Amino acid sequence: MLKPQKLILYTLLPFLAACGKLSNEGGGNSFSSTPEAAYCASPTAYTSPITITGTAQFRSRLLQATGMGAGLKGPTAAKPIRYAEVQVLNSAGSVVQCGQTDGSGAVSVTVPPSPGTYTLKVLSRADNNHYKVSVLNNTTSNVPYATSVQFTVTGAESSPVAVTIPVAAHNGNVLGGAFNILDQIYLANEYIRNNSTCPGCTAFTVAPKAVVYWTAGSSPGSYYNSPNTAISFFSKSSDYTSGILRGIYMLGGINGDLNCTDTDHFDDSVILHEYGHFLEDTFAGSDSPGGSHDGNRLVDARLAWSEGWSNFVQGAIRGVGRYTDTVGNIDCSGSHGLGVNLDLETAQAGQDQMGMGTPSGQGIFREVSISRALYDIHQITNVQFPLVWKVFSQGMNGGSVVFRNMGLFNSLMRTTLTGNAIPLAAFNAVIADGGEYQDPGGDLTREYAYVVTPKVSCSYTISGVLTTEGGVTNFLENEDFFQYRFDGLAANAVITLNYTGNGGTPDDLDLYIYNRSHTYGNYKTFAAKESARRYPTSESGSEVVNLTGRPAGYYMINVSADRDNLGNGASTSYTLTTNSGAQLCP
Amino acid sequence: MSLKKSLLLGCSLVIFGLGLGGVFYYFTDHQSRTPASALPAPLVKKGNWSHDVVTPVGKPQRMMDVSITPVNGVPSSNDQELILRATVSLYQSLGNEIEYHWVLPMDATLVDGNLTDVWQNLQAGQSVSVDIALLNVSRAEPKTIVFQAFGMRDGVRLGGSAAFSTASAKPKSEEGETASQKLQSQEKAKRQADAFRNVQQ
Repeated sequence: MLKPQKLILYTLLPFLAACGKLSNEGGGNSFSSTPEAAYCASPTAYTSPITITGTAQFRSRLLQATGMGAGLKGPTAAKPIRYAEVQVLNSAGSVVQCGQTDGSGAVSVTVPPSPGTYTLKVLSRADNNHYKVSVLNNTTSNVPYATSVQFTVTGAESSPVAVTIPVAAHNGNVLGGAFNILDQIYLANEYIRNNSTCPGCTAFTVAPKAVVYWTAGSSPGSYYNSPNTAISFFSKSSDYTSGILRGIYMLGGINGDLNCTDTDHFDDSVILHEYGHFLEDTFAGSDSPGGSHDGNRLVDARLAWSEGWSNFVQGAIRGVGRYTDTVGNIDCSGSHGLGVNLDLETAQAGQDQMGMGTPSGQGIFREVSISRALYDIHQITNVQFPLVWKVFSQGMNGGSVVFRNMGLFNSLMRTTLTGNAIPLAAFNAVIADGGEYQDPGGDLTREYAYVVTPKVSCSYTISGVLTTEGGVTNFLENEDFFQYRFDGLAANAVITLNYTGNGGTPDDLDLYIYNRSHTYGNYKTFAAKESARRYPTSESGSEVVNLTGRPAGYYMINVSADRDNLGNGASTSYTLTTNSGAQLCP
Repeated sequence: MSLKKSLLLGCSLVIFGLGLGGVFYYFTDHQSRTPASALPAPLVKKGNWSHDVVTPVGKPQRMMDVSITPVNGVPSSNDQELILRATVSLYQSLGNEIEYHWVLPMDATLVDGNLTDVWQNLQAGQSVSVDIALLNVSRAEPKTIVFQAFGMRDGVRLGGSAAFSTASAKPKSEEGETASQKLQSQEKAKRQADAFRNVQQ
């Protein structure tokens, strides 16, 4: 999954290796995993070998993305399995040769001139300069998929022997699903390799190895005892309680159904979305807390950024400004269609409610707004994908970059474009209107993780907090988020919030300090809070939290207007003061 | 003091006061927020702090949640009736009509209910359920039943689906768990649910 250092850490148990297996037992849980077999890459030289040739191919399903008949259709033409692992086994099952397909799926390997029956396998793995990925069945057996053919040689063949490798199919055992996942990751690497050259850019050669777990007819929700949940995801860490290893988990169906329920092995958008999370974790780092997201809500800015990035990058790689997730396919006796259909080019009702009157800065809390803005930015002449990738992989990388969000990306991009008037103007136009509704001339980090340090004096205002249905919070309007780099000194450990109403009863402002890796609203991720508080309660005037005993590091100060204890609608001003008397200011 | 002088002094005080306030405002680096407006439902309800505040995970922009549950459990033999209930909760408006389809295994027998129909005027935020009664679907052999629902938006069919498998129906033996076993199962389920909430999709 994407994100923070310890997303699932509270379930992470010690990692043990025993008897050739990864295992974890204890605490009522047991997990045993057979490691993936070594990649077979080095060819073996034989005297007077026999050459075997063939072509490895797969079929996916055609996608109709628009119109009444939108959805997954019949098979595509056969497509090459590119740069994938090839093994040849003898009749005893021993590997006698290794190789790889080429860019057109062609296979050419040699076997010893020994009479016998052999099996040629093309596996759902690649580990070369083109891409590095293993598509495996599950986390316990870690077996790759293969399309294979048996052949017999007499040992007297003097010319190459052509074999027919079965085309991995779009139906039946849906082996084409495994190879489509493989191929999409190849395309992702190709795209980035061909679109990451620019002054000051770090050369991209190939992404580190990714592991994808996929089983036809099964949902990764099974790992969490939710086999009926249609879900694909990326987990950045291991969770032995659930049998989860770091990797991408793709939806292969539900309860054995492959045609009428949701599957993702032919949904290129979803495959690349999850690979986008992998790229984020690998090349930038992610602080997303994970969790629910539907694109059409204000959510934690870190979650919105992570999901918005992944929506964008799948569109950039495919060259299509849409995100399409299908439901069922044309072989279903019921019906089929789309489950998700996002327009990355233009704001649409229902996918993100960004329009006239949208408060400034709201877009950084909206997943689809971020996707649209990134998509627009990558279309700016002299910006395009290379500069987006540069800011993403270089600017947002590093241990001192925390609480990653779209405001930070925008700020870094603006700095990158400074002095380059035309693309800067185009960028400003995107974030001002079409994307984030941020003030292009303002501090673009101010709405989330605004860096504050002890200074002389400053104050802030939250104004006019309104009740909405359900009494839910609004991440832009009712919350302020400050990045506090606590130095560990006692003089800066106690933080006091003082607030007062401007001409009336103030809103009840609450003060929380979260750990660097936190989930908004999760008390277990508080670094400190006012000890006597009950929720909800009405306090007035001031609150104090104490970081004494906490290590130096990055913390998130959250000043939150309690929607259950609203004032009379007038604005409320506040200050944040340390026990040294300094105020925390930008 | 004449009226003119009084007005002049008053205006001077006001101007001085405004200027002083402006200077103070400038040096205190005042940060302001714009007023809240009517916006879509955000993530977390305040006043309800707990470890479980994050709503269940789902892929981006689901239009609806679809689920299937057995009404009276799953029978052990094929000659007993299985009643399934499909529930659709609409997150976003999908036009005036939502069509639905049950997809049955080959040898299932429909006893009651409609395999396909249309719901009219289902609005975002509303839920609706429909039941179906079947024979030849039991724990005796694994079978999968699918329910689909679709509406229209911008000329595109959008919807969701759910599948129910008799293979995953809880066997009766589990009903005899000891209290300790049940507690362990619940704790494990809770750990898994907590982890599930946090996975990134």
